[in-house]
Amino acid sequence: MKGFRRIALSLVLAVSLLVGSALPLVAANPTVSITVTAELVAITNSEDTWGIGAVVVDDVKYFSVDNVQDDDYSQITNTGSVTVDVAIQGTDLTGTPNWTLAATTAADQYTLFANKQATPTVYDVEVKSSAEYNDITAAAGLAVDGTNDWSMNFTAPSSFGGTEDGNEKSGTVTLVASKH
Amino acid sequence: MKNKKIIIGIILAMAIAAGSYFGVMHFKSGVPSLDEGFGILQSEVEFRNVYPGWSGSAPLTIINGKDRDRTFSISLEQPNPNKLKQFYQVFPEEYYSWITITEPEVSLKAGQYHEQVIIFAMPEDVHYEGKYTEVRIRVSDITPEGLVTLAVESRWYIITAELESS
Repeated sequence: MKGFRRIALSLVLAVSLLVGSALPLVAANPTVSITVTAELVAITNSEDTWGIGAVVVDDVKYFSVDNVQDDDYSQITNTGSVTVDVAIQGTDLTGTPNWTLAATTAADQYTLFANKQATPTVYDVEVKSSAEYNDITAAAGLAVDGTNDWSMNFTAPSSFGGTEDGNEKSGTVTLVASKH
Repeated sequence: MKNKKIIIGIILAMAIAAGSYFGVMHFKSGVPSLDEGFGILQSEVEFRNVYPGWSGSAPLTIINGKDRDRTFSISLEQPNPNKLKQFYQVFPEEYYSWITITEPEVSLKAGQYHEQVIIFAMPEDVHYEGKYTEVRIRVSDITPEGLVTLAVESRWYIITAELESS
């Protein structure tokens, strides 16, 4: 009887060890803390429409009233209560066929590059559609009540995969603000 | 007669509770107003030491400027993997189901604001201990407009409890 009890106890111990290894071994009832930082994240941007108009292969157009270079055409203002980074994110252009947003032009592949306020004539901020998007604000961020002038340029695909006569394309560019 | 009053009182209390949960407009002090554009009131939220089976929530307050009516979409987004804080990693997309946005689309009149709760619930049977992660709650203006749209993000840090040393 004694021997049987020992075996049974060992089995219970072995089973609990096995169960224990299958479940996460976190401390019993750890103390969870939730910290909410009450700061206002808010921006405005002065210009939002851009009618690029008809384009041909390799055409370059600038974000401005008449599609010519205007380095401070649009202005972002930090209207919140905390310094922010403002990233720029693009999308493929939908139409028939779609044009893919990329780092370089190719067949049915277009590019968008923005400038930074500190170097207004240099359009080197690649507008991406992935999460690895770039900031158009300075490395130190955009301070409260600060402004950031910007523009961007568009380069049409180096060749068209289909017949493009009269086809319309549409897409969006999103300025995303978050705490610096 | 007395019963009727009690019933009305209960219904009123339930409506107020439902209103505050589902984000009916609140007019309380402490929420700033914006003349133009829009914003959110929670720049960062940190859940520290969460563990399997735990759940909790945090508020998200969207403030619409006085310039016009807007419609917003609220979504989960990856942070830029190149801009994470030291020791942090991207909160995996496969675990987005742990986070519930109670109202993924919100329309506000000019000058209004809206509050909702975002719920975090870690399932019982997951192994995801000792992780420092970040995910973004993005509020985008989806009012039909021009090419350039605006979005603001709340940075959510989710830190899971460490393994117990045996």
